[in-house]
Formats: sequence, C-alpha cells, structure tokens
Amino acid sequence: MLIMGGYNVKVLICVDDTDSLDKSTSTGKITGDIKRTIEENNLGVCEDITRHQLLLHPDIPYTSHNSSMCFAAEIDQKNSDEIISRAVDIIINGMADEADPGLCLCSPQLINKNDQQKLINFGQSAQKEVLTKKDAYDLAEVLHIHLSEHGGTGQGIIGALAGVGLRLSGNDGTYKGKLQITASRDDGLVSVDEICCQTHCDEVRDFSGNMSLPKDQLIELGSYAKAVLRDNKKIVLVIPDDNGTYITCSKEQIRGGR
Amino acid sequence: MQYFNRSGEFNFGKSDFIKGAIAAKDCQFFEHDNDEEEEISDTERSCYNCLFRRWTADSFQCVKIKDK
Repeated sequence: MLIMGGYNVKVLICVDDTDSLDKSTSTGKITGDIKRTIEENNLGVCEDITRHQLLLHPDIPYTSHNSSMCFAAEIDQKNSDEIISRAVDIIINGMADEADPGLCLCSPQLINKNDQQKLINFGQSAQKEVLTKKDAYDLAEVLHIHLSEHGGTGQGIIGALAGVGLRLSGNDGTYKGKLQITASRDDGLVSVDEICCQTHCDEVRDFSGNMSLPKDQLIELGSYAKAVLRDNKKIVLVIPDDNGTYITCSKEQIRGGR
Repeated sequence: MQYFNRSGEFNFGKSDFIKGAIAAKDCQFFEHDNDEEEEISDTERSCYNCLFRRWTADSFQCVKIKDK
C-alpha cells in the first residue's frame, strides 16, 4: 500500500443515519463535510466517497433508503483522535433532530487478513439480514475499531461499521456524484483513455460482460455517468449501443432494482 | 390504475420506471429529492425520484399517501 509523504496509515471513515425524511440534510453531505475538514486542516489526503446500500427490511428503522457513506484517507496515525473529534462535531451540528447517527473509523492495515474478512463479512451480512447494535459493538471491540453513536437510538453504528466492511471489500457501492466528462471530438465521442484522465477513474467496463475496455475504445456520452467500486477500482460502466459502440449507463441501469 | 396499495406501497416494484413517471405526473405531493445520490430514474418527475418515497424490501412506500 502506497502512503503519501507525511502520512503513515490509511483509514476508512464511514457515517450512517444522520438524516430525516425531509432531507434537510443528508449523510452524503455530512460525510463530504468531514472529508473537506480533513483536507482543509492538512490532516490527511482523502479518496472519493462511496455509497453502500444496506438491507431494506421492516425490522430496520432506517429513514428512507438505509445506505451509508464511506471514504478512505491517508493520515498521520497520531491525528486519528483529532479526526474523530472533528467528525463527531460535524455530525452533531449537521444531523437532523430525529437522526440516529453512527461513526466508524478503522485502519484495515492494522488488523490481520482474517479480521479484515470478518469486517467484510459483517458488511455483506448487513445487506442480507437484520443485525443489532450489539453485533456491531462486539465486532468493533474485538477488532479495536472506533465505533461511536451520537444521538437518538444510535442505530447508525450498524451501517457505519457495515459501510467500512463493504468499502474494504472493494466490490460494493457507487461513487458519490455524477461524473463530469467533456467530449473534445466533433462527433461527441470520448475515448476510454480520456474518460479515465478526466474522471480519475481506473477503468471503463462493459456493464453486461464486466469486461474492461481498451484505452482507444470510443464511448458515447449519455445523459448520465457514474462510477462504481469494483475489484478495488473506480470504474465507469457503459453498455453497447445501437451504433456498434458503447454509451455510458443511465441512472436506471446503474441504480434500478436497488 | 391503482398505483399504490392501502399502506401507500407502490404496486409495481423497484424498477418500473414508466409507471413511476406516470404516477408522479399529476401527483399533488411530488417533490424532487434534494439528494442527488438518491435519484434513480432518468425521468426527473418520477415517484422513484420523489422526496416522499421510502424504500421497502420489494418496492417503496409513498409516505404522503400512507399518512393520508
């Protein structure tokens, strides 16, 4: 793992359940504020935020969509308490009154592979079954992971821990935000290489076959483009179009059937 | 056509985007979700993009209809 100069550890930071149904705020916004604070105060270098969908079930008291938001950051380990403290302040000041927020901060490199897999398993379980706060606290304690609740029922700790596990898996979630891609050719097509340069994505893949496309492959820009996390890479998904080339996937193709 | 059941749940699941757009077309409660991350339909005015939908295991519930 490559760590930038001055920083000695990579951490995953995840937030869940800060919002209310009227969306006066959102977990995405609060997570973005935490990321910005880390960067603006030179506490670390952050990667992009990913959204992780968790189980939708009548026994889970989620607000409207039950997803958590996570990002990776390279930090100086001695600053982790300050980062947690700033994150907690942002959550408390930004959360909706009726929210049940949870915060998780974990350095995967400080836990062994077996324990990393337990964390990944927890995240994947949170997409298939109803878990409890005790499940989350028990695992966090065993793995020495920071996990804290900040109001309401504190139920958000389950999603916060699960989001870290899912991000760690490298195979879950969508990157926050719509990708901005500009076509420089007259025909409006953009090469895979150019898309990767403009968006800092690692690959462009055929959605149907999960096949990585060559750098010189031309892509038509649809009305929407979004990146997903697959194989620990930031990937743009496209589908074959009627002209024998590819077009970026629409919202409905990426997000439909959640 | 009956788009929602008595508890306000959409009758056509999570990805019938045509019916989601039709149901929202004349809805007095429709309000666009202000969190872009939660939009899933390419048609702007769609129940699937509405602030007042709450996802369920098989579909979503319109909280405005549920509360009526």
